Amino acid sequence: MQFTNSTIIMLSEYSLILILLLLYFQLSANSRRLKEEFKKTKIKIEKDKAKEEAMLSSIGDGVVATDKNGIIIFFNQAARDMLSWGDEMMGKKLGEISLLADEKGGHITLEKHPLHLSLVKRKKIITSDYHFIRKDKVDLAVYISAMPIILKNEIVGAIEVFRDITQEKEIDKIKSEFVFLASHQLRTPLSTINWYVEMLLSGDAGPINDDQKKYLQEVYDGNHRMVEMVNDLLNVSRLDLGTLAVQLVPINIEELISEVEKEGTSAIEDKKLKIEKNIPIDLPEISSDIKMMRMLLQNLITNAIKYTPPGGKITVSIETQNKKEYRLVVADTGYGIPATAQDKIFTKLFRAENVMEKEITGTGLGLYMVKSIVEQLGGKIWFESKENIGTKFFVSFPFKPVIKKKKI
Amino acid sequence: MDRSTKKILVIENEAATRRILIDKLTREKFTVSEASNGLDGLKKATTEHPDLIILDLFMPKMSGLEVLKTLHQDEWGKRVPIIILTNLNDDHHILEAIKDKNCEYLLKTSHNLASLVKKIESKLV
Repeated sequence: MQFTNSTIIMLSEYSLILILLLLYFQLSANSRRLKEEFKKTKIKIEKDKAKEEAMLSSIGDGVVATDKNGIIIFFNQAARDMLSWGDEMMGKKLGEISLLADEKGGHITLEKHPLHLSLVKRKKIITSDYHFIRKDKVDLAVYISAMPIILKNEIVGAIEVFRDITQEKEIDKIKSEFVFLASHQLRTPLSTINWYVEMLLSGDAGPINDDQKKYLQEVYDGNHRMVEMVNDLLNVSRLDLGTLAVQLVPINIEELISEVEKEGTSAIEDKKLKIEKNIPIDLPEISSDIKMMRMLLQNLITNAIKYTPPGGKITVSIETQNKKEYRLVVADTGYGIPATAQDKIFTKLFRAENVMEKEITGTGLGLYMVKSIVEQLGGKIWFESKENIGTKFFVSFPFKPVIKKKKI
Repeated sequence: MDRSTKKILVIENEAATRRILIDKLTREKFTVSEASNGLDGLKKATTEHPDLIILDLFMPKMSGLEVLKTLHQDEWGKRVPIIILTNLNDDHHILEAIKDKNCEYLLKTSHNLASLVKKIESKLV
């Protein structure tokens, strides 16, 4: 069979059309598949998004996410409810819309806002000392946790999670008020016992023999320990409640140390302890709260006396490294704080085993109080201690200018 | 000083505390008068004009701080020495209330009877 030229041309055209058709079908099949895949992916993404959104909005805690500049890019329903703000939050800084205040009502600046701090310091910031002032001016006590989001070592944003802790704070307050009242009521019979035993001991109700004197002295001492414990509990509750407002007055710290030392004279003499004071002669008056400062010195010095074996030495020093801060150092050659107890030493009611074994009485409240005072006065506290060698407590405070009252 | 010529008024609502204060002060030869609440205490103070008043703060009918305030409106009341003997800590409002007044503030648990008697003596000279 022979093909004419026109037949060949016709066949070629047919095959071309066929190829094109084949290609067309192939392409549309591909496109359909792609479309389906795209649809599937889209549905999956939407499902995931809905799931995440449902999860974030169902969380009882407020969640706010920002970009690296602290600009809000997301917030959940709880955040909206707790802050009483709506969509207008978007694109603003959290610190601009949710004003923060501390426990005394002092305004927390934008720079000190936990979210901002977490971005600047590149670390998690946790606090339960603040409350939000909502849009409707209602105060809301919150626990805040702010965390930077770091991708490939670069900060891309931050997340702040906050929880309403109004109820917890209320319970804390009730607890402290109870301790305050209970302590006051407890003191009444304790002072009466104290005075009656004192009268018996001094022979007001007739002469007593040696045994009677010994037993009465035990009652007197036991009662005295109880008084100390109640006083400590009362002070702790006052510190926790914040009823001990800081009142700055000029203080001669050397005189205050001497007064506190005098209170411990009998114990110092009984144990034949050596007390040394290193206080710079030119130390100016310092501006601080006298009640708190006295309580702080009483606790540190009493501890040193109590936890140093007979014949030991206690050194109380004031160091002024620079004009910005002064440092109080109370060092002893005592039993020391065991390494295993060192991280718990400032915990309320904690007592180290080595001193409990020696049957040295104590409430476990002293150092908790000291730490609380130091914090309220804006200072720092730390210590160095080795068992059976001694302990050194350091407290540093910023120098505050002494404001003298003008004479009228 | 002839203690028997000195009259001390004890205003204290706690019976056991009041009894021991009366007992001790009588043994120390002072002349003692007593009241078990703020209102009675104020009446006795203004009618008997004692030489010194021992005043509790937490009391029924009239608190110690109210007694103090009312006494201070009177010329004699301004001058009479007062020892506030209480279990309430030196809270700011107490210190504020006793400021510029002829009174001293003692915490019951921090003072024994001997030191209280010394304090009374020093105020009566």
